[in-house]
Amino acid sequence: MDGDPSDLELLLASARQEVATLREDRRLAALPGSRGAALRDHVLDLLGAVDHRIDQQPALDAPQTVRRAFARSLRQSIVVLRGAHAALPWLAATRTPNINLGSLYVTEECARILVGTEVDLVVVPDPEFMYSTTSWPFSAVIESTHGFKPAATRRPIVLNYPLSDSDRLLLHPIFAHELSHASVDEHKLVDAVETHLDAAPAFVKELQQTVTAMASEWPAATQTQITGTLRAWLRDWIEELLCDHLATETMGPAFVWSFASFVMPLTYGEPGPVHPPNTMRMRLALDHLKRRGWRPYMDRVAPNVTAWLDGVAADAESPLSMPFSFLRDQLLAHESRLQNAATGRIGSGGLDPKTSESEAKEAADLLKRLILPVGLDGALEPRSILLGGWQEALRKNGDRPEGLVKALEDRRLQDLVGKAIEMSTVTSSWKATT
Amino acid sequence: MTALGRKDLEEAMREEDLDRRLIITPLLDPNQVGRGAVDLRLGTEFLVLRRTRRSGIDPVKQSQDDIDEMQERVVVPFGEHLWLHPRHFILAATLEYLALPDNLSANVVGRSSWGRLGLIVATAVFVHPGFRGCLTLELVNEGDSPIALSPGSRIAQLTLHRLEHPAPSRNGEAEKYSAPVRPQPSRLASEHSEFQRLENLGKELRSRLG
Repeated sequence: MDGDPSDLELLLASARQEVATLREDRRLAALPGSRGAALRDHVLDLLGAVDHRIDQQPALDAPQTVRRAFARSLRQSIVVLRGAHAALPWLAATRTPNINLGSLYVTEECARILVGTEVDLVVVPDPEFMYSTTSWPFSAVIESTHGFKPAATRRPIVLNYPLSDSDRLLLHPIFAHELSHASVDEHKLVDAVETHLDAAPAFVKELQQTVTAMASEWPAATQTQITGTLRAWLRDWIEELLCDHLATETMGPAFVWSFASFVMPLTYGEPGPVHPPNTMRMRLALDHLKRRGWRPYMDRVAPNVTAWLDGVAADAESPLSMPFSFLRDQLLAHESRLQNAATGRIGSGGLDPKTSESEAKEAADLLKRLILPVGLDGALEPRSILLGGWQEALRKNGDRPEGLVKALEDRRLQDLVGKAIEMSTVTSSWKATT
Repeated sequence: MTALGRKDLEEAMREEDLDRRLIITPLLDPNQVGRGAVDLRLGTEFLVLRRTRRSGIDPVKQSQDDIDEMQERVVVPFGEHLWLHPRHFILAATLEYLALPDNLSANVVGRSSWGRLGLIVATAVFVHPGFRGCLTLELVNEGDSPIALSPGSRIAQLTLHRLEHPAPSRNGEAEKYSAPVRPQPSRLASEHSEFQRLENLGKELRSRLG
């Protein structure tokens, strides 16, 4: 029976075995640098939390409800402990990075801008071949273990990317979108936007009307349940759009070009509970770039691609079924609030066309001559090098949608861009150490 | 050919026309430019031989992929090091990326400070005019003690020479090792047709002897 002495005997043995196996794994040994150290601390916190739970073992004559609660607590722990084995290859990856150092350095720079300095970034290939991110992966057990104090203070972020994209550096601006999820969480940005919406009478009225309309679509659900579902979807859409705005602000047009290359071949205008339609995402990203002064640059270096993206964005207002049309219409109406939340969060860390445009041009010119674009008179900003890489890639592979895809197969150009970013970072750090 | 001294080197690196400029980037410390040579640093990527995958190397019978598969790529970030054990051989690359104009060629040699520890920096030695890329360095520890190799260490020296009559590259000549940014494995297997011809020649000559 659940929670009886035999059950508890099995669970305690299993939990202790999982903890011991993880603790003995040499990949959990101290790391040579700070990269991965917070993730290691977080795993050790998980083990400490489970030890703490084991110590709370109730007496054999304790009430059955107490023993059952303890059994549930141990089962949750064992599930998470088994999942923690996945973290060991992540730690190993910090010793020998799977992506080139240039990409790693620019991603770490983005993490500092988007989330803050108290971050530990671990970048690993994803078996499901998608981009995704996880912060504090084992916090569910750690935080719900009463009386246990975790040691980790820096936020561990595990960034997954498709293994096939290891060398497709031009796609790596997507990392900025993924890192933005940690930023949104850290700074409670969804709450701020939702509070703003709730203060708008038109939004409140539309929400109520949508709930009423959906009652006939979802007859088994109560109005409270429908409202809860819509709120959850709304929060997910807000988060995705905020992440797009944060990435656009951080990476400039390079984010939109990489987004178009990776995401547009997957879906076009189809909405989902978590992701807004790509047409809408493109519309907001292009509006953001226009407001930040990037539009003349895009029209100059890639007029045909920009015109195509404008066409995609124009489809943002195509008919959608309920309740997606409600979500879309409300968030488009409050677009400036989303933009402001992103620009306010990043402050002066955004990519500014006033300086980055000329740096990107220099990088593109050097790439054209097969010269490593570190910078002729001082190191170029790594994100400008990446933007210049896209600029040259589109010139070379064609200013058209197909050129966006062909650019990703231009191995030599991406190698040069990665190496240049690495050397630019080394040069800047070298100066800082003298 | 005229060897370039410090003043010539600095002038070549300040040349207004980018196509005629000598580019060595990043040049972390201006003191890397010496009286008659430029110090080059060790990069962050290495190719290490996997000893258990194949019985040996035979460029006549093995494809380029077979040879490439025998090498493992290792990345060593700044602040860490790679231990090179006695008699071990690895490929490394220079930290610096070079772009030589058509009127300059170069030679690369190891620095004696490392040589005295047993480290031999053999390399393609001659760098063609117009070369672009990081140089591949062939490192062997001929000493009896393991040596720690740290990215960024000054490991080799580049001497440059001005050609009296710059020659444009033949079609495709520059593409063989085009703009590499990491150590390049041997491309000997790409000369497969020549090896085949040599083998056929041997058969032909042997048959003449009856």
